[in-house]
Amino acid sequence: METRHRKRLQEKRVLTAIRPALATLTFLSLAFLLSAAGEARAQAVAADPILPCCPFQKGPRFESRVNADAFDGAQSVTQSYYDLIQRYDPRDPNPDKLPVFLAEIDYSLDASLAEGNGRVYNSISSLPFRPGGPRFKGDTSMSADYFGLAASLVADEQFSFSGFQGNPQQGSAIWGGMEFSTELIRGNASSHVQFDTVTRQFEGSYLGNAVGAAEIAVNVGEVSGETGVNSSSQSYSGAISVEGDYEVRYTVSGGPSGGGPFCGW
Amino acid sequence: MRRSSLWGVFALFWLATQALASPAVEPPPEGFAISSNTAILCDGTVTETEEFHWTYFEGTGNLKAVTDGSDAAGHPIITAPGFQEGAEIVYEQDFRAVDGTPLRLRSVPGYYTLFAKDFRATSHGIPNLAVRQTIGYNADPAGNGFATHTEKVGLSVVSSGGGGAVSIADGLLSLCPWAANGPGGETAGYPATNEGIAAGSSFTVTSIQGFTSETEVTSTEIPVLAYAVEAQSGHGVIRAGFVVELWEGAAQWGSHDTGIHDPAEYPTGTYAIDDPPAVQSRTSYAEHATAQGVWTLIKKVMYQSVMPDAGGQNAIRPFVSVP
Repeated sequence: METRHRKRLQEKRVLTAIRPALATLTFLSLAFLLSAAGEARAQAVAADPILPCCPFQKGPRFESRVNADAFDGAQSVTQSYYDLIQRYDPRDPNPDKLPVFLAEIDYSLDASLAEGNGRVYNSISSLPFRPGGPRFKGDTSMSADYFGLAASLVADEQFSFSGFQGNPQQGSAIWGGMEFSTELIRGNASSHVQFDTVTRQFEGSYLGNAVGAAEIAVNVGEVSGETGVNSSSQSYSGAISVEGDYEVRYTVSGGPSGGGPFCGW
Repeated sequence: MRRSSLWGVFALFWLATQALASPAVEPPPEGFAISSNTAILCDGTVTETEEFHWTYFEGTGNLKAVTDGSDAAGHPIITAPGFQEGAEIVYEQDFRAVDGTPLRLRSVPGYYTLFAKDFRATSHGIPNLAVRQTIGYNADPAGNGFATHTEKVGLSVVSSGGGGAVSIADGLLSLCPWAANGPGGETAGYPATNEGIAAGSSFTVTSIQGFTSETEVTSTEIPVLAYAVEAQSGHGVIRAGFVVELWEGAAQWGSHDTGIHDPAEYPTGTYAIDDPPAVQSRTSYAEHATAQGVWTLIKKVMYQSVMPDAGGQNAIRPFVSVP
């Protein structure tokens, strides 16, 4: 079990190490096409001081907001974000050393209104490392047919995250993914996702009160191990599908709970 | 609904094996916590599924040890140490509802399906798994509406046993030579054990009101599985089951140094695995209840290991048994 676990961790490190660049933060794209009013803003500033578990002395900060309203027309809103973080133990002289801290965040929103009145508000932010601070946060609010016109608003929001801390003797990794799919004929829907790469705590929620359809899918897994002492593997998955006149409230949250000794190096 | 045909199933069951059962399995240093909350009201179609699996091991022992070859006595030789104990908690649930007539809910008139669930799982808290559900549904008599639901929970604990005294007594009595379970003598400890417990329920109905279920499972302290299901009224088929399987060895499943490998410092050295101990106790229990037609159902089951543990209520404390 231990050998398999270490092998899995090594595979994950190698896969990450061969990624094209070690760029710590990539803000891929922000675009929206519309026949309606909208606003977009992005900014980057230098970051907070290093913390015991933080991989960098400097970190970027990004914020982006899109507010788009369409009146008896069509619109499309897309947002995407990708973040890869790796840290190597500076005390390790091995030139081929593997990262001892690794985190990855991938987020995308694709919303389009085919007809009628529709509104899509979205904000995403990536904040520097700080105690308890969210590394990434995304919020989306949508509504359709709020003036009584027939509407067809379709949205798909995907969010995945992973985090690893450790060394060959002990370590832990968590990964997960969420997907919220919405089809609004009338009503409102909102969602929230969040992942902190320091604490590796995650959150997700979906609230909908509408006529249409909604699908929610969540998958989270975690492994931790210490050579010859203990090993743990956990997985959680949930899926919800509603169609018709519905009201849905779903929240999920979690992360490591034992506090682990994996920040001590 | 014909009131005269209403009949019910009531079952209350509590099981605590009197044989020595499995020990608590310590959680990993960095565990996890997951919670989710779901509330759905729907005039239409609803599907909801949830799965949770947690498998973990602790200590150093023969479980999942890697072996290579055997010694002169034919015992497998350990080349990579395994674990002393392991535990697994599994929860699976599936719900589907199609069509219906409005529920008779004063607060939310006009909705056909009600589904609410609170799920919590953690490696560092008791219970390790806690789930509560509420379901209501009425099918449309003019249509083909129906609702189905399945919920299952399982707990498995496997131990290769351990040395050292695990006292079931408290205070001065803990010095008693018979206070420790296991093979006795200087190496008193607890034997190899294997226990598996599962409970669950399912229904396929055209109407169900007041359905609730509660699930609690603990493995990081004295292993416990409790499951309770209640339906105030329903029309269709409902089932509930409870199964317990328990094995207990005569001694711990240990290893011995054959002297053929160096260094011989466990776990860095290589040792040969002893033959598994003989089975000393075998407990098996199963019960299944089914109601078909128009019914009311109440069923509560619980299993608790009596493996002695620190602070466990199984400790022998005569002093607190008198006024």
